[in-house]
Amino acid sequence: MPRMTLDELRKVRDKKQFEMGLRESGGSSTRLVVSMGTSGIAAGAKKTLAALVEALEEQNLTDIPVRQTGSMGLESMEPIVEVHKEGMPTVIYGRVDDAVAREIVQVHLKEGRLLDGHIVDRPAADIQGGQ
Amino acid sequence: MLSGVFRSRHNSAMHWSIGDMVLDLVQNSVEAGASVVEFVIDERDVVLDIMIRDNGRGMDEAVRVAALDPFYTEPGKHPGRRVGLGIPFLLQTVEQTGGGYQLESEPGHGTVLQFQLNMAHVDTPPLGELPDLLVDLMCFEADYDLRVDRRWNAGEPPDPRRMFRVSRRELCDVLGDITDVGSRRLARELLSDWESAIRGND
Repeated sequence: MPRMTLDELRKVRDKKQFEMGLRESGGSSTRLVVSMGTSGIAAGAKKTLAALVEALEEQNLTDIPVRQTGSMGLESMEPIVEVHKEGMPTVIYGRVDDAVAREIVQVHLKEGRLLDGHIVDRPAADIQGGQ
Repeated sequence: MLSGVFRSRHNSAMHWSIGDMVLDLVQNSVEAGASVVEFVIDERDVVLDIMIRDNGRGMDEAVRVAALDPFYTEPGKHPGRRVGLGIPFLLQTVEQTGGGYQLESEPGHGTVLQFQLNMAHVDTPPLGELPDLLVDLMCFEADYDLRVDRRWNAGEPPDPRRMFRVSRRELCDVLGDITDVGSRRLARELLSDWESAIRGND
């Protein structure tokens, strides 16, 4: 059987975008950033990322980007997820396991409320250039 | 009996697969400011050869040697921290399974890390799901290209039916922002299809 081509992929994408044309969007600056340095991976951030992607798919929020970054300087609170949503403050959540990841999607992204119990302070000054 | 914490993290933590180590190392390349990262993954029977080459800021000889030491991290990267475990995790695996590695770097030009593992050794971790890994490698929050060269028992010269090449740039041309959840899914479908094709599973 021949492999799928990039042109076929483009057609699938165009079709999906057309089908989802009327869907409510999360807003252009909305995105999730998962800390994926050594300590993040060691703490299970890959599982957290998979749970976020799955929950967003279930909620039909497939236009929201989920990206990885390096250490945010909060190793003791890994896995860490930073949530950017239009109209809300940027929030860093710590100790985000699968269940918390799902709650972030439901409570923060869908309902527009902060999720209690997992909010952590801004990254330590050392990675922002000061000591 | 294992505590709940240990149970819940089983198979998901502490660089469980070779893919986890690769994710960590490619993150280093992206953080070093690379605009192009090449990732070659070549399997021949039980031999796995991996190369990660970037055009990031590179390391001088003193830093290159120090990067092999777990009790070192690049000054300025995390000034409050004194350990860096990305490369040492890999070297530990290489050493305990009789593999080999080479780390070369030139300041201002980039870094090349190559390693070889014997997949039949009882202590070699599994590779993990390759299509998932490739998608993750393309979704760091930065502007860079990732060029993948995947070979599976391809021989020499490589049989085109047993290999594929794909780049982040060409997938972005098709999908737009590859990091959104819908695009991640589509990229994964394509790469799963290609991976099965080169393994002759189609």
